[in-house]
Amino acid sequence: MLKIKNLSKTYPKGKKAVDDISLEIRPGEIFGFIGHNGAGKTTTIKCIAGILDFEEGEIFVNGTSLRENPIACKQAIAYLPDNPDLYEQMTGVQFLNFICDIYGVSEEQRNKEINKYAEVFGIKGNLGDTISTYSHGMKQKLALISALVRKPKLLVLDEPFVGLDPKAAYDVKQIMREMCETGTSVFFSTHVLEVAEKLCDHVAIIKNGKIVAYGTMDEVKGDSSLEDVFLELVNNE
Amino acid sequence: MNKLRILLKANIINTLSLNKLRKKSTGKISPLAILLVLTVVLFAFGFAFMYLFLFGSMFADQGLAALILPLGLTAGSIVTLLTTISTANGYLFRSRDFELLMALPVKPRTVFASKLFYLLITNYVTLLFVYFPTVVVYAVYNRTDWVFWTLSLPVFLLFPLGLITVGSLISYLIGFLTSRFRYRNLLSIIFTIAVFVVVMFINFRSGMIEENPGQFTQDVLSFLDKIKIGNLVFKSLLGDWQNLLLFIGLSVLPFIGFVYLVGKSYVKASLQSRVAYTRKNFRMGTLKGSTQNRALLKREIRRYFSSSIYVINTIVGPILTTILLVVMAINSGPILEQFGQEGSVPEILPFILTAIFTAMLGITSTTSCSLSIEGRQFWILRSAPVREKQIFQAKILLNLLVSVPFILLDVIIANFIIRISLLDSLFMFILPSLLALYMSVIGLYMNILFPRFDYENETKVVKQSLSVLMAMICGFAGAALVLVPGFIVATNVNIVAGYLVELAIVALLVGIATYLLLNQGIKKYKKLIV
Repeated sequence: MLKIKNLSKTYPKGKKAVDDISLEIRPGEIFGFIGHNGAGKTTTIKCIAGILDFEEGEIFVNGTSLRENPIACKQAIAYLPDNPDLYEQMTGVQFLNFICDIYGVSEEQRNKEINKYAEVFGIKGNLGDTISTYSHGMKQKLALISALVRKPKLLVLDEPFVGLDPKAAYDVKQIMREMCETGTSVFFSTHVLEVAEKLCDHVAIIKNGKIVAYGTMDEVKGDSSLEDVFLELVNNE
Repeated sequence: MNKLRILLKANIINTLSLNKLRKKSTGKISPLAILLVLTVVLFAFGFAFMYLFLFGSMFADQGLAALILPLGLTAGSIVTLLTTISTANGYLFRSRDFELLMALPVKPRTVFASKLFYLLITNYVTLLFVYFPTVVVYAVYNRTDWVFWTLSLPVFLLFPLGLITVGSLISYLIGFLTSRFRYRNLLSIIFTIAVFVVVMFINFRSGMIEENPGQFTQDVLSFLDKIKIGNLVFKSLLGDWQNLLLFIGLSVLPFIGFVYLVGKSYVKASLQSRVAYTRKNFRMGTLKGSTQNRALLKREIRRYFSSSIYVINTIVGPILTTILLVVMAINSGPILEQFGQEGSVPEILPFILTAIFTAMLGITSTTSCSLSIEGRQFWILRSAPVREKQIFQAKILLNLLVSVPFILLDVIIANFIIRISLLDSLFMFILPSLLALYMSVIGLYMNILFPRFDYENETKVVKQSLSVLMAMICGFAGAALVLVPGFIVATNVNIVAGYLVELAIVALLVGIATYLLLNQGIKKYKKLIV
């Protein structure tokens, strides 16, 4: 579903944020992307989402090159940033309708799915309010709904559990599993290693822009905990 | 006082992005940046002096030289007052850094004072380019003494104090009164524009020049005396000690009182200003879909009307032109009488009116900050499966939706004032509309070249960003490039030839701007980093 080949990204007049990374995610997989602050996680995710240009390497989404056909790739992806900055002046329902228009979600599907997920996340009564009145957690939930209603082939999430209450975090994990059963792949970054350990089929650890560990969860952590492996890799200069 | 200084310094560095002037390698201010800033300042002063000397000589020729200073000061007062009304509430009471500042071990009054002083400094910078050129041009055409020159600097320093106090109060009241309503932004826009319209309507009505210049001068001076704006400063500058004392009192005392009283309840005032309307018992109806292009345009329209500063900054020009025309339409009897028989106006008049429409209505640009205003929400468009052209198209259409209806309306009003042929009416509509299209495209291109996504307050993007300044320069240059050759041809060959030359030039400008946007613009857009 997602194939990254030798991806490198250097910011103008800056350091190389991502340095020759390659990885692959198959349909129905949950992939955890772990790294310390400034390791290159968000840069990689932004490149996958088509937000950042990259100089070297290739990204393929469902077999399509992001460089050659960005529109088709973006259509297949639902991306959620670490901080859900949404259109504050719109009401929740206006924002969801806008996203559905842009991603070509049918009227029938949008009405059904928005009702369903708004109910699950408990924000149905707030959808008529402007987003500027929402708390961080409510914005996160609204952003998640906007990603889920379009039934993407690949869900790309940057720190999806930050700001969510325990119930919503549980619901998100359940939904991620359900989506994977229908063939959707999930690629997410997190600092919560326990969640990654329980949830992910595959994992990659990134350090200073380079992948330092990559494989199935069992391959990466072996007999230790993911936390031990991560700390050892990060502390090992 | 030390904390006030620290806050003010941090505010200036952050808001004006002064660190961008520093070299990354050494951390020192780059000489190139200093040179650039100096060049911009010199150009601005050059333009200000050029315009004021132009107007000054016109006034002097008509025997109206005494009006240069009071009118210049009144214009400066109105600009300061209206700018403060449109920006102060957002900047003083609804700024994004409110929580950060309130968490600091600093008195709320100090925080408020630092924000108010920043507002004062930005007003000094703007006024600098109106006040001193006005004073110099006045002195060239009128006799002045040492008192005038001695008082010019202290009067300048006191000049905006009272205006900022009044403007901030009005701004806060508008924000406070509208905060409890669902359509608070729209109400705020309507209130603010209503204040603008009232102020400008009074001014325009008083500005109908009569035949006797001496009488006209007296009329204007007595009118300015009535509204007290500008004239008090004018009399103070001339050494009228009674007025000077009144001016000092009216400037300093309300300002100190404002800092003291509002500073005392700054937290409460800010929190009240942030109260937001929420619906009870919301029930979701059936959602209707639309195409990508329609959805993008609807979003642009919503974004535009959600920001009062954005609307006011871009719509005031067309509104004022329309008011001017309405006032002229009301007074059309005396105007037509000046041309003798009703309806027999000189052939050049519709051509000149077309030029005024082109210069006033054609240079509106909502696009020059429409990308920057996306701010941290830019990721939504960047990750959406839409082409760059579709995004550009929505932004350009918004600018046309804002400017073209005013052009059409003004052409209709103009037809009520003087008899205009169909051909004149057609050019009167097409030329400003085409310049508006050029402005839409070049404004967007400038915003792609000079984006600014990291802002705490929309004022920074809408009023203080480089892209807006560059688009304005492109607008003035574009209007001059179209109108000057057109006028030369119209007066030397014939009017139709003049129109055709203007049409050819504006079409060429649209072509060049479109080429830049669709080639360089798209490439640069793809490389933008949020």
